[in-house]
Amino acid sequence: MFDIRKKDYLLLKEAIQNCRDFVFETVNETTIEEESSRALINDLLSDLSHFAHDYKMVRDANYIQAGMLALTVFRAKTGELTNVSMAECTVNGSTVLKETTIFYNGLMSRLKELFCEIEDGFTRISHNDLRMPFKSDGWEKDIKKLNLHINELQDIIADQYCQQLTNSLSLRRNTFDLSHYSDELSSSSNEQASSLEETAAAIEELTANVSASAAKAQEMTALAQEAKIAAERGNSVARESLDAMSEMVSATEAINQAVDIIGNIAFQTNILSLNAAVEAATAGDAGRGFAVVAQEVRNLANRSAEAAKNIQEVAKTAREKSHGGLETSKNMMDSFLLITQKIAQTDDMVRDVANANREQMAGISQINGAVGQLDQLTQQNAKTAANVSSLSAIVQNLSDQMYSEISQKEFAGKEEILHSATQMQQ
Amino acid sequence: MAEIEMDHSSLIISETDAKGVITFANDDFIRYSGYSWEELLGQPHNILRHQDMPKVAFADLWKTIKEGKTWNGFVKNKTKRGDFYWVYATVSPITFENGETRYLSLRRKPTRAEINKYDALYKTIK
Repeated sequence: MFDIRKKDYLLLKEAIQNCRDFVFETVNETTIEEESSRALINDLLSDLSHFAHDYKMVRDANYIQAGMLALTVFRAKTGELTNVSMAECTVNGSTVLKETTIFYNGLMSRLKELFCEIEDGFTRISHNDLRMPFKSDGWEKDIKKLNLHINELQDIIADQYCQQLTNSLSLRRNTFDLSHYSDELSSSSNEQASSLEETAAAIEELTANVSASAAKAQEMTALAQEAKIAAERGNSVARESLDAMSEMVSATEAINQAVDIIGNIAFQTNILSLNAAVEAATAGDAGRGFAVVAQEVRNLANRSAEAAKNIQEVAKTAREKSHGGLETSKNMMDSFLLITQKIAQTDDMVRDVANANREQMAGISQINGAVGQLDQLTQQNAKTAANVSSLSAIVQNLSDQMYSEISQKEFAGKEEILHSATQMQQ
Repeated sequence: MAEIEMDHSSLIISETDAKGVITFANDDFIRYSGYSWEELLGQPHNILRHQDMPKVAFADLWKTIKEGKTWNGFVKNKTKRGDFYWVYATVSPITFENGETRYLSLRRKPTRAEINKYDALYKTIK
């Protein structure tokens, strides 16, 4: 159609190549120069230059748009949800990229709504209201699943609150009972302490009594000793008396024998006087005086015999009496022996009493120790009861706190639990 | 000091506030600058400025973006160690929903010819 000089041809070819490199981004700027001597060629070169300039605006716009998108994605990656920022130059950019940005901003808005919803939900929960389920309208799959999980979590927490409320109600009841029982324990411990005090006083009295009894037993032992000595002396006196009686018996025996001899002599004297009388008779008158004497002798002999007989009678009586005395002395000795035995028995008994007293004292001291221990235990009990009392007050306080905390929360099942608790109380 | 050459696939992205303080830098930024993210956050963007760069280039950059326009240019940057790397930068003001303005900067690999051209040019300006 028209001739073209080689120089112009190369100029155009180079400019086209430059535009191509610019579009494909192997170079960053265009270097088209309108250096031809022909206006027609320069016009073409100028068109190419304008084309490159226009394209540069598109390229810059696309870069800036992509850069802003990248920035927003980076921020979203770190957890900051923002819309893509705006830049004036991007009006020249590619529609695809602009649409992508609009889509991206739409996603961000939806996500922000979702996060607001979740945040509101958690704020509601943190303000103790668990009655509203999370909505997942318009969401599918992963996010719907997330919402379901959050709702499940909310249900689990509500269940736990129900459990907590039930527990706190029963804890309140139990601590009420506990404080009642600990008061009872406390007062009964105090009563026990005062009873023990009385017991201790009684034991003191008992100790005094047993001590007095022991002293009496001591005195009795001394008296029994004295009585024993007296009885022994009585016994020896009785023995002496017995000996004396025995001597008297043998003396009366001797008297008897002597009287027998006197009797014999009187008898023989009587016979001799009889013989003398016969002889005197034979001698006649000469013998008359003799016969009188013989008669007198015979009378004397008879009187001697008579006297001997009387003596014998008296001696017999004396002997009998002596025998009686002997018997009495023996009896006395036996009696004294018996008294000694009885005194010994009494002494033994008094000793037994003293031993019993000692054992009693040991027993009392053991009882005293036991009472002391009981007293300590009772005091400890009273202290423990007081501790339990104050602890139960703390527990009651805590359970009240727990109840007031849990009752501030709103959750499914709360009203039912409270209702049944009220019914139980009634 | 040695030159570090960017990969063709690299794209350095950073964001500064209205005063040029760094508010965001991507992994490529960290890789080429040699600074860690902790070192970069809150620092002025000119932490990367190389002494060979003419002041007028940055004056032009600030003038352009403050007018709300996009600026393009070749920049020689200095790494933490003192090495340097050339970039082709595209900087634009961006506006957030709350009305705040920040600056977004994107950097790509320049060609060798472009580097040579601007290296020579900046020397004449200086």
